[in-house]
Amino acid sequence: MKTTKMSLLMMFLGAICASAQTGSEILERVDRNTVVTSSHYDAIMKISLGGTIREKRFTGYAVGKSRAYMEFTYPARDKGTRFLKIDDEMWIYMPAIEKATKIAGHMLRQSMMGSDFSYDDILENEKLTSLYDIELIGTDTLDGRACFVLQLKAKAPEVNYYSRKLWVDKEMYVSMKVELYAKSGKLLKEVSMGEFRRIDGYTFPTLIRMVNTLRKDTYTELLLEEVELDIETPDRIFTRAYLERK
Amino acid sequence: MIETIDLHKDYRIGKVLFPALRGIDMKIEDGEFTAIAGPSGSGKTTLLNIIGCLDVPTRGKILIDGTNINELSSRRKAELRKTQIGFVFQTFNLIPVLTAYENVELPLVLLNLEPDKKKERIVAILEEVGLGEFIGRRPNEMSGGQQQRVAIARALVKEPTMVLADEPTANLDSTTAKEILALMQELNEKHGTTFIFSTHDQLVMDYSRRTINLRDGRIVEDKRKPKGPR
Amino acid sequence: MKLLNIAWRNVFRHTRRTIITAAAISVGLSSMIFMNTMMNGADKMASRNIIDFETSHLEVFAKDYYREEGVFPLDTIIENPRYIADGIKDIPGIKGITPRVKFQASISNGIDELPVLGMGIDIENDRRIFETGNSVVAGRYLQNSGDVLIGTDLANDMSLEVGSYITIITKDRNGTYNAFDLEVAGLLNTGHPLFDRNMAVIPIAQAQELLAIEEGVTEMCIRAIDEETLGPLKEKVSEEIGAQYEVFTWKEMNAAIFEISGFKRAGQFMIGLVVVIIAAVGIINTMLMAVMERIPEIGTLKAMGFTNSRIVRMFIYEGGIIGAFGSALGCLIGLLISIYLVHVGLDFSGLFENVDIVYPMKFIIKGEIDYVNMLYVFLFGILVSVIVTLWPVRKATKLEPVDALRHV
Repeated sequence: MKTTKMSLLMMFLGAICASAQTGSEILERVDRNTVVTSSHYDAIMKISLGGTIREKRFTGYAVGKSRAYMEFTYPARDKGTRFLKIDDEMWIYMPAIEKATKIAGHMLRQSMMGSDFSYDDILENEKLTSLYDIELIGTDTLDGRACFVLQLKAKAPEVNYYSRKLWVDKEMYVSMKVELYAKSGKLLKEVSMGEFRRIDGYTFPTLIRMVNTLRKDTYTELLLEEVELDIETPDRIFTRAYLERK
Repeated sequence: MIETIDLHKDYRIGKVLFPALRGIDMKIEDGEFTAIAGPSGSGKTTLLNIIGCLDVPTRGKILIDGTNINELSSRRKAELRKTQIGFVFQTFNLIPVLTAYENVELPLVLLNLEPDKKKERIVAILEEVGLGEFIGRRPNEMSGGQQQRVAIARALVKEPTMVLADEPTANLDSTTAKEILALMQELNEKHGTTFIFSTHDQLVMDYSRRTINLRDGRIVEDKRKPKGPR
Repeated sequence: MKLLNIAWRNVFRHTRRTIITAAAISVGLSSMIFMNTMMNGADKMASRNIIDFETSHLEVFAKDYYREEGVFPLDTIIENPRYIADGIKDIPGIKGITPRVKFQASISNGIDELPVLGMGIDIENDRRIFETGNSVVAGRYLQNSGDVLIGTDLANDMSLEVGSYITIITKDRNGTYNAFDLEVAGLLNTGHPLFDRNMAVIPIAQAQELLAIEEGVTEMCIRAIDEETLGPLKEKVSEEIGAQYEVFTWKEMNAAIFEISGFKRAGQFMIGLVVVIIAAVGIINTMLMAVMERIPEIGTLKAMGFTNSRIVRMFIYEGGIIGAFGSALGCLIGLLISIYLVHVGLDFSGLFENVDIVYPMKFIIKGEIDYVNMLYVFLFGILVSVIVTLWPVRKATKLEPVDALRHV
């Protein structure tokens, strides 16, 4: 009985604690849970366009949120296409051109490899907690799982998306879904995460699905395979020379 | 006066040297009516061409009124032909696109004559050769004899000192040939123009007062008679 | 009896040969004229499109805004357009001034997203100096916030009609995504491909809000009263507004297009030249035949005392006459084709359907006749005929008269 009482108390306290959490605290916990120091993975990109699905494969390395390298391996016509991201700059290397091109200006709005991801979706690297004012606006159930719903509003004008809505799993403390809004309040994109795997103490989504709400019948899925976390990643990978190597 | 001294002319055909004239010495006075006769290949056309400044001798001299014409530039020779020498050809050589009148007018294009005087001269000479009614005809609208009359008129219209006629009757029937010869004789007498013509035709020789016979590039006979038959 | 007269008659000695030769020349020349007409027409259309829709005569930008064609930065814009408008409105020779905001954007019909050039215009002022307002072929011109004009081609591509809703998406000055839902108020048919297939025109205030640029504009467009003397006007405007702004004429901003046009002209000339060379070979052939068959005649003329130069001149007249016939015929045919092109035009749309256009016009090109060029082409035809005649004739006159006479 005592234990029952205790556990009831604990639960009660826990509920109080939970409800007392602020939006920022929830997001900090999500970051701790998901932001890895480094990673290496093989990925499949499935681009669905009006019912047909095109598949592309690439290998990627990332260090924190600031450095990333990707190289496409499939299909043949994309093979050898490489991307390098360092902080807020990005380069593309195409074998046919044999020279890296910086992706800048209005090119950043464009689709990456025909997918629903734009280049600046990939480029995001600052912590959400530093860019946005975060407010916990309620709870919701997503795929049968209880979630916090967070409302994010830009602190300063220099952000890609003026506001966001985040669904955070109450149990695992991972974002399940993000809605990205234009300044005018128009919903532009929906990102959902799934197939979480626990790797080395992180809860890591291995399925990311991006929907551009301004287009119909299209979505892009990223499936991460062979994920290794917190590994030694040689610095030379994140250099222009490595990007342009023969 | 025309004088040739040891006139030679060689043609080179391939590697073979073909001598056309082998030392011609002769004198032709102004106003003569002279035939140069001989079979074909005897050198008569060559001799005429050299006299007419159309061709140059390989060796020897040719003097016209004392001037050695070999030493003249081609421009001076053209000048000489323009003013002093009239040609009549075996094949008439009229310009087919021009009328009788215009063919006769052609040599005068090169001389600065007043238009009225020019026209007067052309009409007069065409009358003289008996083509008064045919001045507007083109060569292909005329008979051979008529064409040769135009050619004679053309040769004489510039009032040259000599007319050189190369086989003028060879392409004509004998009646017409006689008429042409009679015409030339008449003009020779009337204008005092020297006439030299080449021929292998007995008929022509009958009309000439002097016949120089050539054979293999040499003069074999030079005979004169007082007056030809009419 | 002039040499020209003889030459004239000789031309008609072989009427058929003359006709064929002249016809060959005329084909070459008429194609040169035809191409020239097309190029002029294309250039004129391009110029009209640029002036009447895109830039007007002069444009004022903030210093360093205008870096290259097709880039529309928002970091260097005119923050205070009223200052410029007030400063230059009293300069004589200006017909009108209007501000515009150009920006890279995409539009969505809910199914697809297409990149477009967004343009905010001053609803009242813009139609005073641009033809955009007069090119609405369905619906109406801009009236309210939330209205958008799009080109007929873009409307077809995205299955839009008057009254359809679209979303325009762009990044504002801070790099933040912004999007508005707009109602298609009217469809534009301008003849300028940029406008007809690639443009979304909205009220300027809405563009400024969308881009978070407050009162700022990307450019001020100035229409001059006299479009031939823009240089002095540009100087005056430049002096008035000071060094933090730059002024360009429409020609300066489109130098690349006229450079392309220059290359095309050179190419066109080369094609024409090749055709003329083929025709020239025809003349050489004709004149060679004329000379060869008349060598005894040349001999006769020489025997009469005609100098070489006179004989050459006679043949040159002959070649010149044939050339003149061919040239006249070529010019006539070229003129007739040109007149057709001026009134009906040529439709190249099939040819360029999938080509990215850089040339500001549609592919129904109407011709523009250049009579001076036609005169040059005419003289060129004669000149070529005369020049190519020289070769066979000089060869013939080199013969000794005696050889010429003997020639059969």
